[in-house]
Amino acid sequence: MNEVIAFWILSAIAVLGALVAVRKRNLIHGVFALLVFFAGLSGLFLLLLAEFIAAVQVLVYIGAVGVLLLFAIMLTERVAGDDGRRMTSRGWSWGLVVAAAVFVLLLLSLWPVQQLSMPKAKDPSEFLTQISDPGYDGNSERKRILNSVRTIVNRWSN
Amino acid sequence: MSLELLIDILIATVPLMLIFATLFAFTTWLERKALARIQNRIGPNKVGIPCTRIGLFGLGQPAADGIKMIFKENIVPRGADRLFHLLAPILALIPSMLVLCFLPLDFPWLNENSVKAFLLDGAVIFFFAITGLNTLAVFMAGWASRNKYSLLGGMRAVAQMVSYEIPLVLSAVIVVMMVGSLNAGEIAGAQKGGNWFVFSPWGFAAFVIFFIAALAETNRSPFDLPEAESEIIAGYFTEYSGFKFALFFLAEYIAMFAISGLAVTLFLGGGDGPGLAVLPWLSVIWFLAKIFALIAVMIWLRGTLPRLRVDQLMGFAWKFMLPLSILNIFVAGFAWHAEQLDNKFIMVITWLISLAVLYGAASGLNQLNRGKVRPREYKYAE
Repeated sequence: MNEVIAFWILSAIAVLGALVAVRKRNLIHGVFALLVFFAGLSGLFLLLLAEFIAAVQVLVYIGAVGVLLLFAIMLTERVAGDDGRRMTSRGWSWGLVVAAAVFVLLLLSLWPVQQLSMPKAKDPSEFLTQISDPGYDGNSERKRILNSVRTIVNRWSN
Repeated sequence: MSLELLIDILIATVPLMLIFATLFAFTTWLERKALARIQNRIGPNKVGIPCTRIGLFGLGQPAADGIKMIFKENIVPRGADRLFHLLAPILALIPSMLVLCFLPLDFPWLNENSVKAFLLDGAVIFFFAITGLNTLAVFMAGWASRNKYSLLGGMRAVAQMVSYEIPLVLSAVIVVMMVGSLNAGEIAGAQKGGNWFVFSPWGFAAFVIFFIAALAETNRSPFDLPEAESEIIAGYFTEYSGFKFALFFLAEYIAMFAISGLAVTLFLGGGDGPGLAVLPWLSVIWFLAKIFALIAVMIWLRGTLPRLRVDQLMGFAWKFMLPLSILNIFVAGFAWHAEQLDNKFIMVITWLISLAVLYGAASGLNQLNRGKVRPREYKYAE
């Protein structure tokens, strides 16, 4: 139960951070929001019992990439970056379509896994706790996921 | 969350925060006293027990300072980013407090079942990852104040911290290599019985590099360019007053404790010392005593050495410390292979060779860099 609560809190932090990073007009605010996203991600890695990846996520992404971005902003002329230019490019609707398609595909790939092979997994966080189980067999899991992708592709092509 | 786990976590964390905050107060007093004695002054000696004439050598000074800081006015400049101006001191304090739990302080009230963060595989790497966040807080403070001196201080701090982090980590790598573990408890355990890493040529070189880099990481003199009073007022916390300033101050000292604690863990044997077999709880006392010895050296250096110039600072990091620490890794690698042979004679030879190599490299790098450091050419002044 603890893991489920932690998963939802951390993923909420990550998603909010990512959204703010994209939407903020002020560059420095955007960078720090991106760092919040990275921190949430490293928390999710900790939840998967991947300590080392979590540490490296903080070390490389927050420590190095974040400082690099700040350096780049620091060395450009307009530090604040809060001018009135529009934030979106002209082809944003196509980007939205592609993003929505990828999202739907990801959702669909989770659904058959639940239905066919993992009746226990009711929500993604339980799936996470399952694969962090020491008895988890990654190879057969990969086969199952591949199968589910195949079923989706078949469903779409028919 | 089960209640026992919560109590375990509180038992593991609350004493750390209380002890180090108390030590912080004591250290500010010690630093002011020591600097005053170095400069032939008396230092704070008035504040003692309230309503009496008892001075207690001015030991009440930190409490008086704390009360003053809390009641001071909080001023935010008009053009400042209010949110980041508020967040920066908090973000400075959190990482330095957080890494304290990775120090192998084996308190007597912790048993086998308690939460011990320092027994985490990869505690050392977590330590470096989290201390790296201090850079962001400094930059945040410098940028949010909307003051050119703050921004200059923040830029200096970021450049300095990024440069000195490399020799810091590379000298810690030697210990990780010799022990074969990133676990802070195991690293301290490997040095039991006076078998400290500082007592070997490669360990000594790594310790010196680590300590110098730690001085730069915590912005201590002689590397206190980000807060150089004579050049850029107070650097990144120029625009901070009241309790926010106190938080920066606290964060800086806690970071000093944390990095000295890591130096003690890696090179000075952790809680190792005489009398442990009779009284096991002495290990905490030894650990804190060693931290205080390092802090005393930091205070002594602050009272003695002049500040570096910016070009000297960068040159020192990249042209002297970095090559030396990389060479030291190779020396330690050879020494590790020599140790595997388990032969006294080979060990003596290895010691002599590595001493010669490290001394030769240090003096050679010194000679190489000496010719290139010319007197400063002034561009915008005469």
